[in-house]
Amino acid sequence: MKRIDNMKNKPKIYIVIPAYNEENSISSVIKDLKKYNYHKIIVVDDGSTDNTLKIARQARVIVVRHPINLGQGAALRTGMDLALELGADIIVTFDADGQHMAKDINKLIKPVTSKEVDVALGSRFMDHSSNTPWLKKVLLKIGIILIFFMYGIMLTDTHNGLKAMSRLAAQKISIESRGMEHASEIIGKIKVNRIKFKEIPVTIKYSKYSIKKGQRISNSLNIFIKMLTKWFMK
Amino acid sequence: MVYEIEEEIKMIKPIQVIAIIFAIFLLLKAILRLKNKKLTINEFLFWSAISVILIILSIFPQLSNIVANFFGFGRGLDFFIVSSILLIFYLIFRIYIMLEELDSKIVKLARSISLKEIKDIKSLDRQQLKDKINQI
Repeated sequence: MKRIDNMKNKPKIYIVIPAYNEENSISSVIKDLKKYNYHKIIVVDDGSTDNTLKIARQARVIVVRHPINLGQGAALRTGMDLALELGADIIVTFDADGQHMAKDINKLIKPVTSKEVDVALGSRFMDHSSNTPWLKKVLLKIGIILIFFMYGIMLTDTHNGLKAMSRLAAQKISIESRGMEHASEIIGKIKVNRIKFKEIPVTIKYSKYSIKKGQRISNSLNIFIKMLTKWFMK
Repeated sequence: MVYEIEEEIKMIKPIQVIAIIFAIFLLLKAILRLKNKKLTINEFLFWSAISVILIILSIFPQLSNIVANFFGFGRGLDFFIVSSILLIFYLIFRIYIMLEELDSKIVKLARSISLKEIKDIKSLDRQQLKDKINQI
């Protein structure tokens, strides 16, 4: 009985970090998260060829390793499945390249813990704290418009890796996309399952490293084509 | 009609001979494979039907025109090319679906390997875990 009460008071928050060749940033990301008292961290090493796995294991977090590189969507799914299995109440997805701030998580999970919504989406365009490069901004805005046409949901930021979801929402959103199309798939599933969601302003730190490691602009077209084929195949 | 056919046979073209030889070769191969039981009866019937059709068409090429006219094409060759393209489209579509299925199977396999690995690690004690980390 006491345990149940305890669970009610303190939800189990799992941070899921998909990582592919992030040996330079992963340890500082984990350190940052631990500083803000998030100790249930799942790093999904997506078949990295560098030392990501070793560094993550030394950081004393839960590490899952894909034997081959499958893509960010698949890595997120693996991490979320594991978190659900471990009894997570809230799952937060976090990027490994250091562009997200651990201090934003508290703000993000607040509406989920209070059961106001089931999914909280981070948005970099709700305030002006992120110094988004202009070309990236244009592409992201195009993405927002595309999402609006595909699902009829107008968001301020559709391709942000920082999200928080309740256990129920995570069970409903089981990502099928392997690659980067997972961002639009999640929004589609939110719409189909009528999951309550809310956008929360977060800060994206654009460092030289995260820009280099992040999505190459030429890849946007690739993601777009995959999104379209998925949409038509349904 | 008889006269026309005689005319065709008289001015037989090299491609017709090649097609007939190829068809006979195909038929022989099919019979051989049937004898060795490497082909089922259905497969044998399919391949022998194709070679028989090929032989008939190479001896009486104007027959293909009749079929083409029936479907609304001017020439037999047009009909052949269009139906081939349609067939290829269909095959590509099927391959696409197959690849997608294969892809999701690979993802599932890889994921189950990863999750099994973590269960193995969980069962290790502290020292074993340290050794494992050092191994990597």
